[in-house]
Amino acid sequence: MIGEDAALAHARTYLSIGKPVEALRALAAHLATHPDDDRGLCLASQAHLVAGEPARALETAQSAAELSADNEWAWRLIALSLSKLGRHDDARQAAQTALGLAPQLWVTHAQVAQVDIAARHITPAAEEAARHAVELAPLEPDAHLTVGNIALAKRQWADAERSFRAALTLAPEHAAARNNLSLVMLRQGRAGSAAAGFVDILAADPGSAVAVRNLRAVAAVALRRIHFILWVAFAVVTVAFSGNRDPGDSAVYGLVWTDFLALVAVVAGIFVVVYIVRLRRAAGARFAQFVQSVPRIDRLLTAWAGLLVADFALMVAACFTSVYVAQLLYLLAGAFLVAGSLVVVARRSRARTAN
Amino acid sequence: MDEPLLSSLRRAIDSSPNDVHLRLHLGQLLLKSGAAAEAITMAASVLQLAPENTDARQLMTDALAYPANVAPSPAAAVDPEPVPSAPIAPTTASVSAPPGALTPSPSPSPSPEADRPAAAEPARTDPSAADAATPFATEHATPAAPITPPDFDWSAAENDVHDLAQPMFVDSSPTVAPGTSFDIERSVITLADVGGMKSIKDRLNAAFLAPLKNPELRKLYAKSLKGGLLMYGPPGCGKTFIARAVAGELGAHFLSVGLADILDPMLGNSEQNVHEAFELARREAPCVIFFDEIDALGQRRSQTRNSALRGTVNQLLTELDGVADQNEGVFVLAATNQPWDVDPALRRPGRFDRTVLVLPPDLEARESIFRYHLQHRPVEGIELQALARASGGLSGADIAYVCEVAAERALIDSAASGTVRMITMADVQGALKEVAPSTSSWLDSARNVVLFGDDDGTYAELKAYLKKAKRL
Repeated sequence: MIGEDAALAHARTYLSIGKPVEALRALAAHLATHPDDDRGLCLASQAHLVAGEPARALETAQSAAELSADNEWAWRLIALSLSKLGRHDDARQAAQTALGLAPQLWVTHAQVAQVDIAARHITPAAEEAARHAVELAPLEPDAHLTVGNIALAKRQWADAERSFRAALTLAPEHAAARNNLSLVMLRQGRAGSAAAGFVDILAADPGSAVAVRNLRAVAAVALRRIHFILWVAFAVVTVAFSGNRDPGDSAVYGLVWTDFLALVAVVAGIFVVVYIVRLRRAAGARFAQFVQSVPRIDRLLTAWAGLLVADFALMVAACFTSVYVAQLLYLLAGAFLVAGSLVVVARRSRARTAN
Repeated sequence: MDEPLLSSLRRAIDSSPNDVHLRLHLGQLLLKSGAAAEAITMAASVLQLAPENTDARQLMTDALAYPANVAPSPAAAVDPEPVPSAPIAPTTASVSAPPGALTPSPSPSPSPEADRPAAAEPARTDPSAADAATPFATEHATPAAPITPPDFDWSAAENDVHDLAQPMFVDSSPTVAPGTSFDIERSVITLADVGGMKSIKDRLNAAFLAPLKNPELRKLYAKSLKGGLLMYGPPGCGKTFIARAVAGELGAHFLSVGLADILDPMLGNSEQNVHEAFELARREAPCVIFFDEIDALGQRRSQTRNSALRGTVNQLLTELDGVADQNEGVFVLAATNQPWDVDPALRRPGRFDRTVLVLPPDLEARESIFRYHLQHRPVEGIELQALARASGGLSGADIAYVCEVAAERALIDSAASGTVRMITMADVQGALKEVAPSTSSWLDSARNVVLFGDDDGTYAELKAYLKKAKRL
């Protein structure tokens, strides 16, 4: 291997183990002696991107493109850097330049699609480019991932699932494909399967902040469903007994109030249990880990779950007391449900602050 | 330095006392001429007029550091007691000579440092330390006096530069003898030098040291010496230091191997470097060979598409396995922040099959670390126990940074006020508020490992710690 290629290979090795600073250090000596090496500059740009420095990545990639205007890699890096910097129109132009330079490469097509995915505005050109990428490289998992991401952005769940599964068939440990497949399942209402997917990702990559966030989202979806069931039960009882004064009054079909409260509590309980059983079945062996992890990964979720449990307990207790105490307990249950909703608001506000 | 020039500049300042640039220029000339004390006075006067002036701050810093930058004076060289590298202490003594804004006390005592903070810092009560400051004071009070250089020791100078000076002409592809790229050393520290961390020491003893130190018992129980020890834990918690201490404990050489020592741009050289490291350790046995950041070098092979790195991992496995008694006397230690990323092949029996969790320092260890990082700085009234209590969760590196920040606060304050002062408890406590534990993100990842990973007992120690720390 000649010295020049060796230096680049060295930098690539560092990049492959997630050490961009060391890669840049390895490239510095090479670029000092070969300042006109556009491949070296492209690698440096890539290292800056990995290091989370898109502005410097853009600068370096632009230097490479100036040295060699027909270097599609440099233009792809420019597009990627511009996307990261939020300059989506410029990114789109750069990606089209790369595509014009090397239409035979799947990566240039994928880049055109990725710019639109980052901009959250999918154009027909992006859809076409993603499809073309897969046609050019049917065995490349990232090409399928790109198609899946386009479908995910367009809320075409079935197409997205198919593409992510295709990517996972080619690369079973593809973290992005696994994450996005679980996300699709969550959006389809298959919270249990989604939870299992995110738990799997975290087992393989414990540092994945995205997976932790998504697992929180799964837990929130599940709690929201239970919360909704309890709200309905509360509303039914409140409406049915709002005009009653006499404990012997019948609300529905001749049922006395205690029986009615018991019926509502049992029906609500059945709905909750069925939902949890379905979650458990879908999550399989990962269900226990999912449930145990919730209090550890988000205390607000724990508070929310606690409020819902307390709410249901009050609803059950109301079946065994006098009408006035029952009314009082239902009032308290309503307060708990409101508090649960406030927790949801607090979580959203915290998420907005974090972003 | 041209004395008439200095005199005329002084006169110019007398006539235009608010001219910052003039003062700055004179200060720089004074520093060049060796009159650090006067330069400090000048920098202080500029800072009083313009506290934000960066040039003045730089001048102050240079002037304060002046005694360290100049060639060691004969007095310092012959001092049998190594003087702590307290840059402010000698300067305080030196600035006491000329009258001016920098004099910390109205007392005309020639060496105010000797008695002022005596109650606060044990180091200052040491008469030798107080005496050691005196030559600096004398030297700077009389800047014009030339320093007589000692007879020049040419052989010592040659020794100093023999590995810095490169030959004028070299082959394009120099042949490197095996092992020449690695530094081997004799570790002088032992586990007794590691403050606190009793549980880690106990675990090291049980897992590694006891079988090594007791050959009879080892033979009795047919305990194999094969296999290495993997230390893992948050960054900055002393894994490398402990590895050195283990080497010291065994009376063995210490060979530290980092990623940069192994990875080589030329194809095949990385594997050769791994082999050379082991060969060197075998030649220098007994020897502890320590692989830092083993997760980068021995990453899961399924995670890396890089063929060069796969070859390196394979070579490492080959060397670890050895043949016959090839690795007799070679003790292999490795450290990683992410043991879950280490290739499982490296964790198999006979390789890195024993693990030790190196946690953030405990109370006693934190106190030792604070003591270590503050003992050579000008401090007063430091309550080490209180600091140790207030710094729970900080790593050793975090504590070192806290001390740096505290020193910086005192320095900037001294520069701004023109009065050199000691580092106080308030500085360190303020710095503690600024520094967030760097171990948090690691502990989050560790929590995920325990929560979501397979519970096969690999991380039982970690699980127990996280439960105790209420992170699980």
